[in-house]
Amino acid sequence: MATVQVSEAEKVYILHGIRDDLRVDGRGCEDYRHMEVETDVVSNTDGSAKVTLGHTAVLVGVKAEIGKPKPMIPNEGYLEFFVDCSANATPEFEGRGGEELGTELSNTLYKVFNNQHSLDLRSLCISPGEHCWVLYVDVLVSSSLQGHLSIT
Amino acid sequence: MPTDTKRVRGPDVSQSPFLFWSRPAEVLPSHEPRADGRQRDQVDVRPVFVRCGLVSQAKGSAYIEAGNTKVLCCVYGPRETERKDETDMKSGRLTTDMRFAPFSCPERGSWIQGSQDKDFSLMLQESLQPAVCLHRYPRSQIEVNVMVLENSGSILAHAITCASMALADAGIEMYDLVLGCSLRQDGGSYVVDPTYPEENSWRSGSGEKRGGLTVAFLPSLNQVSGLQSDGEMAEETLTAGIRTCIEGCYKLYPVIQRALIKAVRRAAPPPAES
Repeated sequence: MATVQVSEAEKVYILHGIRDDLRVDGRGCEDYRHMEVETDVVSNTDGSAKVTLGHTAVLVGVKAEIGKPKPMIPNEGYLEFFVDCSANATPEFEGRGGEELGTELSNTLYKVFNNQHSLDLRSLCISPGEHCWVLYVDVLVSSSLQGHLSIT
Repeated sequence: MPTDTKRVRGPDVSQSPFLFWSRPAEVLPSHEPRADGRQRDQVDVRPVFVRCGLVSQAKGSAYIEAGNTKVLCCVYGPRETERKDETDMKSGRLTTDMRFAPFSCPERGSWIQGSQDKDFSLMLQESLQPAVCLHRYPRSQIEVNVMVLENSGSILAHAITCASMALADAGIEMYDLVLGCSLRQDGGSYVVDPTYPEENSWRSGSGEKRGGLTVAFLPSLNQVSGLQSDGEMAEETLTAGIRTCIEGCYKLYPVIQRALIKAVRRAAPPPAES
């Protein structure tokens, strides 16, 4: 979709609308767009999901591999995140443009899953200090009109 | 992945000898007093040493020491934007770069920027941007370079404070200073301005309400410009933690103000009374 610069008058119009709880597409301030969630969409992975929110679509694949646990934490496995903002999403992501956003999103994902309760990392251990499961979570942002983090 | 080809680092499988030493109980249980004598559950920040104007070639600079944490910041600018295609006609650009010296952390780091450095740089930029009057410097860029000389906990908070002092020392127009304060929630109690062992001890030990929080605050305008948290905390704990960090920032404010006044007096001594 072509991006058109928003004029100053339009910006004021949008802000006034928000004050009256009415956004440009007719939603209220706290309404979500239509969301679709599908799982097991990619057959080659050990787990996958696709989430579509409005015009933004994000595809996530998880692959489990056996690796060596981190030296300081020998009895737990770990997760590795990688977010790729592909040029399919918007022309701004062409080449290395999407790299900054991708790094920011993957750093945030590391922080979000860095707690005891979202995933029991001890269950990923095979033999302490030698083998453990490593879950590689790869995220592909395929079409984008903002709102990436909440979807991932 | 860029690799360091200039230094001989030893085999990739080399590990620190610390791993093989029998460690004394690393876990600091939440009812024990803190190692350096400060109080739990109170806004007890470490005493801070700040000095501006240490780096003569930079437009502005600041050095902050809190306990063993040492952070140095230099500000260059405003100068012409290097990449012409990113010149913004209406406002200036603020670029931040935060680096850790390889000897700063207990484990030797590498000179190549890791993702953690980029993460901190981004957080630093997000916290400083609302405070700087960028519309007064169109078509220019202001560079803030932070170098961490020793990491003894609470590094992002002190880097934010140091960077805003350096910006003030450089004479960049700002709406307000940005001060940083961080907190570590450990089960039922919290510790403000944690040290390195306090920040990293949560790995051993389970339970909820273990997390960290860093807040960047503008004291005169009473606004929060940056917020970073990890681990897990209940919602009330998080809001109480933000209020505690804001209190910590207010405690730091007079010290920073005095240091800036001293630096200004040194640079431009008041005219002698005739």
